[in-house]
Amino acid sequence: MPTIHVLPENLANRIAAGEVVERPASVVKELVENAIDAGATRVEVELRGGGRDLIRVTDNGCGMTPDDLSMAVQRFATSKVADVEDLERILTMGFRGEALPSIGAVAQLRITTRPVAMDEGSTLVVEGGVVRGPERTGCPPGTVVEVARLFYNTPARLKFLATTATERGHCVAWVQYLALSRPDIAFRLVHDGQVLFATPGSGELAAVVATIYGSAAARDFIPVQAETEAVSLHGLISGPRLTRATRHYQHFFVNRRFVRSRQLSHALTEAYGLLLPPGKSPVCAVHLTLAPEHVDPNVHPTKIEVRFRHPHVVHTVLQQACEEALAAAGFRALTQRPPRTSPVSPPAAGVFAGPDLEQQRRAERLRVNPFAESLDEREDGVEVFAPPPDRGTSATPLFVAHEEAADSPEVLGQLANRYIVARSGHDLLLVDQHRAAERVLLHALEASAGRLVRQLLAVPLSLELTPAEAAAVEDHRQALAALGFELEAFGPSASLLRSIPAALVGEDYETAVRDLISDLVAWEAPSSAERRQEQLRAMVACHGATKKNCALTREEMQRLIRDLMATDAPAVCPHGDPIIVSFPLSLLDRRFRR
Amino acid sequence: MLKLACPQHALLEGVQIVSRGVSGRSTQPVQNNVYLEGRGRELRLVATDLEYLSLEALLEANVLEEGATTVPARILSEVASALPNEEVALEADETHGMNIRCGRSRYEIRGLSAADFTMLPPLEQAVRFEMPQGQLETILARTVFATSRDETRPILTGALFRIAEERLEVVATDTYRLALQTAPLEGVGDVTRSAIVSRRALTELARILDGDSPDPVQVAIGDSQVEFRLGKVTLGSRLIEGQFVNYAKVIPASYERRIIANIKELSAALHRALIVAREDANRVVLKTEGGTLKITASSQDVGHAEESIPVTLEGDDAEIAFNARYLLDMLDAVNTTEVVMELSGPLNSGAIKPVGDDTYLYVLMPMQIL
Repeated sequence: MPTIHVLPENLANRIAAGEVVERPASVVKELVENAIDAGATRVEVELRGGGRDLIRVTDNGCGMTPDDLSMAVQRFATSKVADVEDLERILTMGFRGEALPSIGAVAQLRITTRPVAMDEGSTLVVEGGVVRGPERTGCPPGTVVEVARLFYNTPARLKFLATTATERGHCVAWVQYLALSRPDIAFRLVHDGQVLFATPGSGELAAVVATIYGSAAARDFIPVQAETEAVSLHGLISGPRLTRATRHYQHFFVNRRFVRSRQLSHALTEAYGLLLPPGKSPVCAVHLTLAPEHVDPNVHPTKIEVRFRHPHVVHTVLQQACEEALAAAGFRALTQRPPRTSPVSPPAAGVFAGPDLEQQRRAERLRVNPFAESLDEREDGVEVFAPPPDRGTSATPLFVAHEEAADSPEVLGQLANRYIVARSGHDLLLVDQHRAAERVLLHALEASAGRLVRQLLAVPLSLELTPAEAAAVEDHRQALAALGFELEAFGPSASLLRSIPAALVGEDYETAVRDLISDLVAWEAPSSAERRQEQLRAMVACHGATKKNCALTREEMQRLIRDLMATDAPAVCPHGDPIIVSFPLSLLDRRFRR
Repeated sequence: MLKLACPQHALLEGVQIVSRGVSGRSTQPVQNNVYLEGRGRELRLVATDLEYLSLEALLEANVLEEGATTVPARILSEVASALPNEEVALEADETHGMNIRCGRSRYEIRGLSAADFTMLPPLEQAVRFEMPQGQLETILARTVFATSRDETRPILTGALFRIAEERLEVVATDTYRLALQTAPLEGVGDVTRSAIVSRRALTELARILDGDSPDPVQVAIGDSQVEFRLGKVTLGSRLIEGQFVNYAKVIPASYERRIIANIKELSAALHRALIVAREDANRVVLKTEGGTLKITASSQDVGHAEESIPVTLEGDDAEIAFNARYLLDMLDAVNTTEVVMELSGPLNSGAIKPVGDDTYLYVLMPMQIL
């Protein structure tokens, strides 16, 4: 019979560490936040081996007395939250008070510290949860925290760390977030002896943005500001030209804490309306200040999410501020996206019941789109287009081409710069042009298995990259080259693109490759090389298909349809969504009540 | 108030030339109009998108009252072309309407105030030179096709005009290939000037240049604007801002082998091979076997093509793959009998030149199967 006993403390710590310490970047984040809390004006982060071998954070903050130091490595010993009321007014960052013991449980931790007012400092070592010290030592005022051999005693975690370049990228990202959160503090990040990033600590957000995006790109940023009773905000948002494919480059800080928030991203994006190319996200660094009781940051152990007490107020203030900023910078906000069709509001309880309610909703859908019923239910007719099943599998290649040309649907026109209207026999077809282009491109990248053609560039494209992007490129250089993208490192934060897949010739490959790289930063590459290449191809196809929302000539449309029909799955896009929707004549007849 | 008379054919010609300057996309309605001004003995017509194109024409007219107005370009153009070839009388009224009388026809077209019409500012500081219209026509025919269609990199959508050491260089590249044409310039003195002129302006310029005309074209390149004056017609354009690519780096410094081919034969062979090559990103493989150049293309879906033409080979046998269309663009643009391809390795750029004309250079990057 198994006995139940209390876990030894160091084991409990090791388990708890998993919540806070996921990877070197989380250690960096915790330590830098502590340094900020200690009132530092200068913080230096040194890494070795992507942070796996060593993380050293040096600050010139207030330092700790030997007693403070001993307390700091006790679990839930924190000077910051004394009682429950205090939680209401959390303004410091590392309030959970579990960082240092957690780190000490999974690495070799050494803290050397000295308060300015004392002549002598103290040092303390934690290894595998066992504390040695503090001992007296001579050192400059401030605190140095060294974390060596992270996860040395948790091999499972160690095994799951990514490459040095990727881990380094995550660390860089966090130091950048923190630097953006505190432009008044001078940050410096050194990796294996190389300075990756340094901010002046001048208090100007623009100066920090310039060190991250380069001074040229920084000029594209627009200042934004708002002051209301509930929330005040200031920061920089990108002009509509500087966009990225993901929201990763949207830096929001609530009461100086870096957060990710769908609501804030949404408000920002709404402000740009049609100024933004489809599928693109603006870049920003925006600080919001709210009364602490209006924010609940304690949602997630890594504190990256945030909950607002009045989310719609924050949304409105941010959106309006951004709209005004864009308008002031000469970008007209009158280009609003058309309002979304509002969802049918559920009728008052009791008025409709059961099937009636469903019927009423269906009626509403039909009013909006006469085809919606069958579209949703797939009951009769309106269907995802299916090509003839045995398309010339037994015929000679030359013959297939002929047959396809004859079968290829005839283009009738274009709808809303988005759909190609075509006819196949007596069926009416609507083709999503972006998805079609994506499918064609993917086919071109795939079908040529073993003989992918690349076009070398007479004028190589130089790409300025963030350190995280540069790391991602380094990690995936070979896989990218196998697809035709030859990227040559060009200094620590730039790459030269020397060739592209021939399928992208004539397209806006610069945007495609930039978007691809920014996707790579967050990409969890599968371990199988084949799967990896497959996913990469899909990413290239998605970003390379630039025919989103643009007018096409009849020839372009006809060619796209023809190329689409030549792919092995013309009806469904790689994400599983329909490319072609077909309306058979019988359905149209029915709609016309023939 | 503007009041004048001129022959219908002269008005029509002028209106047709300038109305191409209207973009049709302007947010200010007045910029979709043609500006008409009667002064002295001339009618001046102007239309501009205020960006990459401004067209101005002067025509002789019997000006009875000096003044100016603007009317929609499309309507004016349609009316002018529909009128009989007789004397046309134009008269503007206070409400910016314009009366057009010709033969038994009488039209009143609503216009907008000339005071609201914006033109490109006059060109002040500029480098000026002139050259035969036919020469500029050739320069454009050999370069403009190589400009980029990708609007996201504006610099490449224009051609660089560079004046240095009493020479004009015109360069265009879409990053896959580069075209460079030089011409001697007399009388500009020791000036250096670089300007990127948009494809839109150059395409329009090529349309109005007349190779047979005895009058030269006068070119003026300012800091932010360029002007081409051909007799009574002036084309102006804002320059594309920015630094052009460092094209000196693109030009290969040396070569290992040379292939000299007859342009007609090479062009015909490439056209035929394209039937297959167009299914494979236009890729053709050029391979020499001594004095024979084999051009092959293959596509998994279509099949295989092979062409061979006689060539003169200097150096070892060569093998390289190019985009056939890019090669044909160049062959179509030159008018010599033979072309020489200077090549090194299969991954090095090729320099292609018309034999006997060292003013033109076309650099093409190869393709490669991975």
